[in-house]
Amino acid sequence: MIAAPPNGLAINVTSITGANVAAQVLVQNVAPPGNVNLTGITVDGSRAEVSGCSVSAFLAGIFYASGASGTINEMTTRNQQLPSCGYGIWIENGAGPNQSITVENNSVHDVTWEGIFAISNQTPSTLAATIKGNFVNGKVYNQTKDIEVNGVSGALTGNVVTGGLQGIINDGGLVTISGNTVADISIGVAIAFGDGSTVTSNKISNVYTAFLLGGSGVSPGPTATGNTTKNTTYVVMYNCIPNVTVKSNTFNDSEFGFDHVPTANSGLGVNSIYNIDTVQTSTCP
Amino acid sequence: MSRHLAWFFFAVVLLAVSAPLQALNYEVGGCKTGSSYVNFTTISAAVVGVPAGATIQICPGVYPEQVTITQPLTLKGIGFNNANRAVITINPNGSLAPNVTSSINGLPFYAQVLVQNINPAGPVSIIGITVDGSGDNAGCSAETLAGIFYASGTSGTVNEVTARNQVNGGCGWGIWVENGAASSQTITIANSSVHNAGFDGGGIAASSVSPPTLSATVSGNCLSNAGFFGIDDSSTGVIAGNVLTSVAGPGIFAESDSLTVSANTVADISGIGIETKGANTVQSNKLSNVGDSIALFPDVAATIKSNTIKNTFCGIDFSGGSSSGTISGNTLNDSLYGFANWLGPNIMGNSLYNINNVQSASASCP
Repeated sequence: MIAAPPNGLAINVTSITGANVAAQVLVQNVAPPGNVNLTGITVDGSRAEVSGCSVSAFLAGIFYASGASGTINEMTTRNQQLPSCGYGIWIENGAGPNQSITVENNSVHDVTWEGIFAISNQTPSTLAATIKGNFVNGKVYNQTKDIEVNGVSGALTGNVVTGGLQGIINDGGLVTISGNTVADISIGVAIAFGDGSTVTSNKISNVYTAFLLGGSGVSPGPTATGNTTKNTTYVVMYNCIPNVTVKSNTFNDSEFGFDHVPTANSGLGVNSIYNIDTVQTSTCP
Repeated sequence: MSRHLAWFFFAVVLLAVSAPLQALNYEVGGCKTGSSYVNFTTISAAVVGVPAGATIQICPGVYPEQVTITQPLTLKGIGFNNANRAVITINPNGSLAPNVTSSINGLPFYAQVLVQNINPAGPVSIIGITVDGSGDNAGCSAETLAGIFYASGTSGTVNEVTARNQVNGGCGWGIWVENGAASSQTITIANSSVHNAGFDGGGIAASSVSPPTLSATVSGNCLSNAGFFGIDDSSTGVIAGNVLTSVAGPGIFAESDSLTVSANTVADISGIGIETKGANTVQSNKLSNVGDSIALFPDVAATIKSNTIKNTFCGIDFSGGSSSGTISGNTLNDSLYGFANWLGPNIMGNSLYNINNVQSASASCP
């Protein structure tokens, strides 16, 4: 187990976001070029001290810096719990060659801000991320996001995500979100930006909002098919954004079905719905 | 005879032949009207007023009544306009006296929807209905509350149902099906949402005499905050593809000897995730953030294979025994104890990561 040193963690990397990060395991400037694989190690952030945390610095259990590639498999990252600045796994790639990173089968829990975070600031994206089979639990510290991708391409599949505020978030990029189980959370799957992304065959239960689907409004926007939701307050929030396709899903047990559906090009197809108090709510201009 | 006249007579004959075959539709709530519909104002009136085998469509609305079904039929919630929920609630002006006694444990039950003494024999299906137990606070000393109760000798399917708030001072179950008779029965509980059950009760019970005469399939359901037991099953059959979160635990209690518990997701349980009392098969389940992930009764020859267990206190708990069953192909990551309370020889063929104590003869599992 890799634990935090008793005299605190120093800032050792600056993210492409500009954030200063104290990483417990840092992968960067790999020479000669090649993959770095991490398997079967626990990274524990208990009693970590990072000066400026939540103001000018962040704590990360594992950090793959720009230019790094490889696989993070069967790791445990836990207790990155400094107030509002703890990340379990952070991977990124900025300018330069495309990189590919796989984050799979990990146990990520008790972090204060994000469980798994993947980001690229390039268009088109230079980071292909595969995030699969992970178990992320944000219940204890109510972290903001369990899994967030921003500007990356790739797939998020077969993860089990429970607790916290937001489950799986795509803030930009073309990704596939499929076969995940998301429960006990405020927002299940959100696509803030990510035209063309697909959300398929996920199971969402006991959440406030199952899907928050947006995009730029162009066609094709995000597409949600074959998903099942149960015990939600809202099934899909559209925010009046057109060209969001929602079809062939099964929704059971919700107070509201579809919220703020756009009046034109809604993309709302045929779904199987059961036990929905109000099918559509809140109109758009 | 002109050609047009011939077609006219043909049409008349066709209508005369087909009219008697046209099935009537049965509806409760008034959202469907017209000559092809027979309307009822209550579900209770409908279930005795339709012919055997009929489908009764239930309009969105609130139905404060206790429903007893004694003939084969289908209850189906439908949508109308912008609403799609038909809710059966406790009648605030009705009796809260028990209406059935379990043939398995002898306890008196207040069943909101009771299926019993089906004549003629045939299945009863309940689809797309919400059963809400709010308002029954009679308590454990008076009765156990069940949202849906299939009594001994009945069969059928519960699909896409919501059962909620069966609390009753702790003694409440969302869905209870049982068979205490010698003849075999088959019941499926699928794709339903069960939540907020009593803390001494549970979400779904499939109870049978031993050896089991009930074949139950419990699949694709989501259970959360569903009392003490998530799923308590003493039948023979399958528990597959369910999602259970925030249950006191056991999340799934497999009581008989011939159950297959597979592909379930069990998370956020401080107690036991899956517990097997008999020689059942537990495979390909995902368990995370659970106190005691998979627990076996002592010396049970269960098959525990290909499960994924993460972030747990105890991975597989043998309760002080040494199972002769198959324990293989499981992946454990992030656990204080891997194989807990295990008195047998080394277990091989599993993948272990980040385990503090791989094998322990004495561990205090939750």
